[in-house]
Amino acid sequence: MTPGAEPVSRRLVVALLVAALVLILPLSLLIGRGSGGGSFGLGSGELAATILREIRLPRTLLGALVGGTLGLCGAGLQGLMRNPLAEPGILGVSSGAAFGAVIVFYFGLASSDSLLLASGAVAGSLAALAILYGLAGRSVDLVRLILAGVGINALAAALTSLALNFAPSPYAALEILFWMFGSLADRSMAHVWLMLPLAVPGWLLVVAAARGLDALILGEDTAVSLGFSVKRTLWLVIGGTALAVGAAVAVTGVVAFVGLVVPHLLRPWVGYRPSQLLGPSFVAGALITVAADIAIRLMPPGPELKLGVVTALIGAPFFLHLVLKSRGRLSS
Amino acid sequence: MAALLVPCLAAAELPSVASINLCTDQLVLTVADPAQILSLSWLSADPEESMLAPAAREFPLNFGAAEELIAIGAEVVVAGSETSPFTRQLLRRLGATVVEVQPAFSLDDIGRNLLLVGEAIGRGDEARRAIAAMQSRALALSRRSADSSRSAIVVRPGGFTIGRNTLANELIALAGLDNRIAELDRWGSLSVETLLVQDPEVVVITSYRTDESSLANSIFSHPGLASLDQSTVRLTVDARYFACGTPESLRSTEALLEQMGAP
Amino acid sequence: MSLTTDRLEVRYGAMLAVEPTSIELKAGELVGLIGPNGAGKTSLLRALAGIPVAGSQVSYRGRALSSFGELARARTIAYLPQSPQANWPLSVRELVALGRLPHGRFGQRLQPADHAAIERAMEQTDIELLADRPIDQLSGGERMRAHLARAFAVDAPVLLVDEPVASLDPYHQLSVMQLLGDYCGEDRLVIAVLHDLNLALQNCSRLLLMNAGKVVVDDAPQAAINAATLAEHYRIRAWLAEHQGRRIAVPWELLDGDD
Repeated sequence: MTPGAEPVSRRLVVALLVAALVLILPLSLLIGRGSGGGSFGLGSGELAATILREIRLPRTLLGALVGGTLGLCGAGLQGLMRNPLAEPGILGVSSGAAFGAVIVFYFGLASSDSLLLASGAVAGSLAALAILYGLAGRSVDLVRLILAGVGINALAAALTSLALNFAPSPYAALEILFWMFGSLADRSMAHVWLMLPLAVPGWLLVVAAARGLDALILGEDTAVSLGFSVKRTLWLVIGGTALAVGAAVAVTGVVAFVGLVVPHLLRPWVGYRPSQLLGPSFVAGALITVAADIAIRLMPPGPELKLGVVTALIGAPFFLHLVLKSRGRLSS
Repeated sequence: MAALLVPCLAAAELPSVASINLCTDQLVLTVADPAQILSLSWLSADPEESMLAPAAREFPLNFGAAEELIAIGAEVVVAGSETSPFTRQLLRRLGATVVEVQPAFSLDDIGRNLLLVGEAIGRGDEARRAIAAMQSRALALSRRSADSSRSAIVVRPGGFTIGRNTLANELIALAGLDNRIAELDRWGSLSVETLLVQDPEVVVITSYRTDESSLANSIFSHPGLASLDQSTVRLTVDARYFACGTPESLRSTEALLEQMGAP
Repeated sequence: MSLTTDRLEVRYGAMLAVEPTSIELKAGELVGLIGPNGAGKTSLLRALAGIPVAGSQVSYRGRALSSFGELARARTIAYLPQSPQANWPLSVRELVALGRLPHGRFGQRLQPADHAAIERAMEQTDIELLADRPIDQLSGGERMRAHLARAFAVDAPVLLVDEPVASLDPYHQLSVMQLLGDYCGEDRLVIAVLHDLNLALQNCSRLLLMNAGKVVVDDAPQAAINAATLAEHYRIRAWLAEHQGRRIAVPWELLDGDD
């Protein structure tokens, strides 16, 4: 349901976001690595077509899909927790996925097939979800859920470090570290097809929780009295996030802070109700991630900056700003 | 006449090759016809990293992105087996031949890698020649080393050391050094305490960017190291010789023998 | 129309918060649920609202509430908890619109009937002028009226409210009680947990006095609140008087020694 009187600014903002995304996607196809410009066009038409179709298209699509996933799931989680600091990373799903991928690296399987790497990540995120459910599944206690997430994060980080310690070679350890920073470089359409079957059901689960999330604005008891089971809303959001974010981490590694920043930036413009926020957060998440990836490709020639590093560089100061603001509100 | 023509004709028929890894760059430089090399990785021209930096500087450098390699039309891409799985897979998808080179843990491994790269780029004979040269060079070095071996420990930046089943172990053994950390498989960290307890006759220090301050290099200024017996011999080996397995890795053995005053 | 409970009980683990209770409540009643702290008033109210608790057996018009779909139940029974929350700074109109959630479907916009109910609820509670103000910028009384409008907007035949007048000034206390009275005047049932004996006496048509998990008195207000019940269940002595034909109870002193 949309609000009674929809402010003009909301429609305008959503239209602008969609327009910007529609514009940036072809732009991303035009921008190549290195010397700042379309290195395609220099070669034969066939070469240009290959580069466009096989290298830049999957990269652009994955940027949009991963960014959209993070934005959508961030908005869903913030609605669920009723806290603007909630983020897919806090549930341990991202780190579980990262650990799953590291295990694949560790056994040297990644060299044969990068899809195996992605499958490891999805398995890791589902394992994290299973542990999460085991720890907090019977309750709807959000504090318990967050604590379980903290525990899973710590465990995954410890196991990942352990794997790094016993890495088969220093090169493998370095490669694992690089992978965990998150990147869209040299992904193929195979990764798009790997991600979609998991991400789409994940998105649908989160979106299905929209009205339940709206009801949760009034607190858990009132949400139940309005006909929305808190437990169902909770697991729609958590399960959807695990699937979609797990699939995203699987193909790109950990891209931090998009899920935190995007819903927060949008809220004053599109409204505070989660149902109003989910769609625009998907679009804005896609937009920001593709833009960050374009920025990476426009850097002077050199080894490519990692996407997760760029988003964290922008996102972390923003996060600190949020913490500072919330402290001011509590003390006043 | 015929002998002069053969390389030219061959170069025309040889597949073009690009390498995206520091170690494979050096293998390619060793066996490839320069005319078939399209590009080497960006680190290979750095003399601190590559043993063949002067030769590498002659070629365009790449940053390992699939788009660069496709755009220059590389038919064979040589890559390390532990790096950039996504790039390797994408390149294969786009029809390039991708050669995955495992890290070398012995001189035999270096030979195997040379042959792998050589066969892939139509230079199998050149690879076999390089292997034979490497073997005779190694044999000559083993003759120079003293009969009685001296105990040694290798100290690498960051407090790492090497154990058995490593190239560095084989290279120091060739110089007549007996690794005290032989129970360690591959590599691991070394405490200053272990170093003092083992009290080797020789400490082999690998030097890497020694003029730049780094946490990794701080182990060399540990007071524990200074308190080693006065009789302990300190030898220095350039880290590049151990980092990648190529025929030039034998330079480490040469350096050790030289510092020990071998004939 | 009647809301009945058949041996309704509420357990928290081994503790029985509400002992088996069978009551029948009718449309047009403003039922005051009173009693000392910990008597089980909120537990009973939550059970009536369908918030899952063990062993609740509530029927509406003779049909078990548990057989209703969640949304159908929500359209039948509206609930306003003690200190209602709004976790994001929605505008008053958006907050009130949340009351229409049980009437909507996934992806559906607000219907004309929804808009009518929202406007009506805001009109009833006299907050039309605040419609576009963020909820977190309102005074306590304004906020309570906005939440009440949200509950009214559900347009349910049964409204349950938990201590709606706590932390309000006397003017707003009287005004909220009047709003509840108006609401049940439309042939609807209102059940309100109250602590203020005089508001209960003056505004309710029937009082349920609870103590230790049991409904111990179920009677008209004047009959339910008297020296004996106050002494037995509240353990106080009150000054009782009549003014304009209505009883006034002013809690006066503690009764010591008993129990």
